[in-house]
Amino acid sequence: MQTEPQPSAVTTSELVIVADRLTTGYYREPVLQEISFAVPRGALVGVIGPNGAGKSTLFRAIVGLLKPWQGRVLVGGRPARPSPDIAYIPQIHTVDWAFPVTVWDVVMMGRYPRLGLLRRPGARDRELAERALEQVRMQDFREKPIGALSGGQRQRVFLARALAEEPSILLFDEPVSGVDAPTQHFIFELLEQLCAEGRTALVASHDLSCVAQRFSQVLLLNRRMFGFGPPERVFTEELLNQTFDTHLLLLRYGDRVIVVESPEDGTSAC
Amino acid sequence: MLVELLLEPLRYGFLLRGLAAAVLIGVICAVIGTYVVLKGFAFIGDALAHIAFTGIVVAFLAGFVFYLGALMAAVAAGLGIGLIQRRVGLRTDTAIGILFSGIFALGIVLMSVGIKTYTVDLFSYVFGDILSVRPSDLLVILGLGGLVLVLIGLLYKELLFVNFDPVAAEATGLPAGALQLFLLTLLSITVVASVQAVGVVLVVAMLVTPSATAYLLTDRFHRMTLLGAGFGALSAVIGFYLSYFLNVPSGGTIVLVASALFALVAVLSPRRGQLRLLVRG
Amino acid sequence: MPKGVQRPMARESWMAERLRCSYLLALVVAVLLAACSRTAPPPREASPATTPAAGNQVRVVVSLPVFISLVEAVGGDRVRVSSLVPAGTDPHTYQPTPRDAQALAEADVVFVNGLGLEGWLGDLITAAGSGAPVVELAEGLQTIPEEPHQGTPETTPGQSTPQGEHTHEHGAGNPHLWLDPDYAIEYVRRIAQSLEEVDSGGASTYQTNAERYIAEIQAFDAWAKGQVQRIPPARRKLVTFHDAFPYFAEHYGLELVGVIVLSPGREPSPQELAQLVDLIRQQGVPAIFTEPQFNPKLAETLARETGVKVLELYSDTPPTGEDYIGMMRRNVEHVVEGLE
Repeated sequence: MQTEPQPSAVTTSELVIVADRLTTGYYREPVLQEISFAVPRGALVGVIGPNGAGKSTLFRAIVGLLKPWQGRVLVGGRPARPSPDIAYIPQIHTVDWAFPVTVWDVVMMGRYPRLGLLRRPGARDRELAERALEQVRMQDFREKPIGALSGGQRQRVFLARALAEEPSILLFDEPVSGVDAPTQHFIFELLEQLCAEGRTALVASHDLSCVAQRFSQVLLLNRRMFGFGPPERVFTEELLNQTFDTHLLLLRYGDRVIVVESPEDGTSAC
Repeated sequence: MLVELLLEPLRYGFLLRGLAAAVLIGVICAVIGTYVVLKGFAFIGDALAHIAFTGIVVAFLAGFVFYLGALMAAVAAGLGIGLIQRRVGLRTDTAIGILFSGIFALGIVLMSVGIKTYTVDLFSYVFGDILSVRPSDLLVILGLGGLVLVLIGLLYKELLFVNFDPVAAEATGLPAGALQLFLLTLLSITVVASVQAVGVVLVVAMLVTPSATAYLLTDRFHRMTLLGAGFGALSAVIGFYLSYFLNVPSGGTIVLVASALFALVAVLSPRRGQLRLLVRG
Repeated sequence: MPKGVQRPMARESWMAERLRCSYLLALVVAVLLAACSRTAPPPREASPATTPAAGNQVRVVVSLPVFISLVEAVGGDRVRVSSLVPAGTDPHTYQPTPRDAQALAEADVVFVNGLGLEGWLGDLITAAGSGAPVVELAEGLQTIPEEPHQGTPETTPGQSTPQGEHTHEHGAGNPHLWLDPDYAIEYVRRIAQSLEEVDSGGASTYQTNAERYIAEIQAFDAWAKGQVQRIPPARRKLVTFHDAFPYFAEHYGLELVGVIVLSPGREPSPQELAQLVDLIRQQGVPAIFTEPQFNPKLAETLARETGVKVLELYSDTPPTGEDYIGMMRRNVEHVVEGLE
């Protein structure tokens, strides 16, 4: 893990992720069309859009699991491909929580890709896993089976696994859905700290009421891109309504913006 | 006195070989069974066993070693199932159901059409024949089983990550698809090594039951593997002796003992909640 | 045992009663025949007519391949014989095909062994709606109870179980009577008699042929008895795959020490095999005999364990190109070769 703070990295505009007219999808159906944006190092980017907007698809393209049909995605200047340098934290429901593994086992998995075939984890790997657990404040849960954890604890463990991987880019898919408010704030504080240290994080969310203000940049996505930029510029009633294709209510309290979706959407406000 | 009783059947070479084969198969099936239980591959294991039968029939008709036919059929089927799984369209279990029942039926028809002069009793493979394990069969089981165990041991951490969280594992650069096909290939090899001793019908029980019993007792993956292997071996030994002393067929008795152990553990387990998870997930 | 085979005398009235109340069976036949015409190759008997008088030859259906040569020996050119169970298939567990139903429907006379050997046949005859007489060749003959080996003494083989309503399929005695030449002669007489009833014009031919074949069987039997004498008395011990040879053993003065499987399809327990191994060793049995239609692995296991030879015997299917006598000659040769 890179522990030395790199404030210079945040200020320079080194672009770590560049999407250039990206179109991709599954089978013959394009999910994303003509997506173009550039993420500088150290950014904390919110990828905001309704369910089915293609947020996970975008992450898969950035990780290199989906090839662009048109356009391209560059990560660190090169075409995206799977690598331990990018940690992808999928939505927690994609994982079988009945699996007989403990918190420690899961965090340790973050070290596997760095180890290579046939090598067993050593002292340094255990040290890194231990530090990752401490960073997410889960060190007391290391022997717990993951099936016994709450939603928020599961997200923390996933984050710890990603940290143990020592990535420079984190892709976090829906970290706040089904998670209690204190954990949401804890996760975002940690992400802000990681970004301040020079890592780059992309966070997907369909729920923008609580976390919207914490991003340095926001990508509004619903199969097409509806906006990209700092939240104060992108979170306009017009863009949000275009993105969510529904009537949203923006409430401003001083410098805070609260967005309320129409109730039949079932999206929870915090 | 007890020792004498236990040594009694072992005076016969064929019973000793049968017991050794049963224990080996119990261990190998349970080790790969850990993945079968956790990933819900039981139906696939069943399919592979039936397809292996057709491979045996074809091997007989074409006049080569039955292991080769069974192995080729099962591995081809395992890879085919892996490809079906990766392409959505039809529900996977439906597609597998069509594939395996069709191929099994082909085996039955081929058996009656193709073998004109004398129908060698190929149906004995359906129910297995642990008492006629030849020394060469034992070597094959040992070889194939050892191969499976070694490969699983070498790729332990990769298989664990990929099976727990395939998307994240693939994103880090692990070849998730290849590992899944690899696992199905190992499953095919296991099925072929087991099928002539325990039969097409009972292979699934050896794949699933000991591992499921172990699942009720632990929340660590490696312990589940080891405990499962223990339960597999225990079922083989107890079942084998019971079948000797009660004068009943061995294959069925071994599976019955495995089932009884599962029932016992399910009732007594402090982690009975796991049973709910298993049934649900 | 299924009724259709069990009570041939009451066949016609019973059949009428059964058929009246049974559209379902008609449906079964229709489906079977339809399936046959679509999927099976054309039947061996080309004549499409279903009345007995249509062809010049008497159409005979037998249950087992071994009976083909018996019927042909008696019927000569006047009969055309086909077997339901194909050569080399175990009759105990045989699954009939649509063509079998068709063959039965078109038959003029059906010869079966009876005594529960063809357990699947009763339903098939019913379904096929055959009006042909069904002759049980073993009916009323003195039988040996099944499983006479391994502890069960061979007592009172005399009284055959009455063929009543409640007779259990296996209670009727061991069905493999034809492997004793004396009983085979009785089968030939019954075949001749039944053929006369169906085709009275051929009566004299049938009589002559039957007498000639009986003489051939007797000549073979005399030779066979001489052959068996070559085996030292202490070595006249037989272990066979399934329980098909008690009549054969008794006729030739061989002791039936044991069988590998009590009935085909039933997996032996480890203890049964262990006991058989002990028996083979204690009694000094020189060889064990398989049958080609069964998996030889069990026999090979026993042979490996005890160090004795494995040879083949034929029960239901003569080897290719052989008739009943040829099959029996092979059996005797193999027994002499194995035990001598």
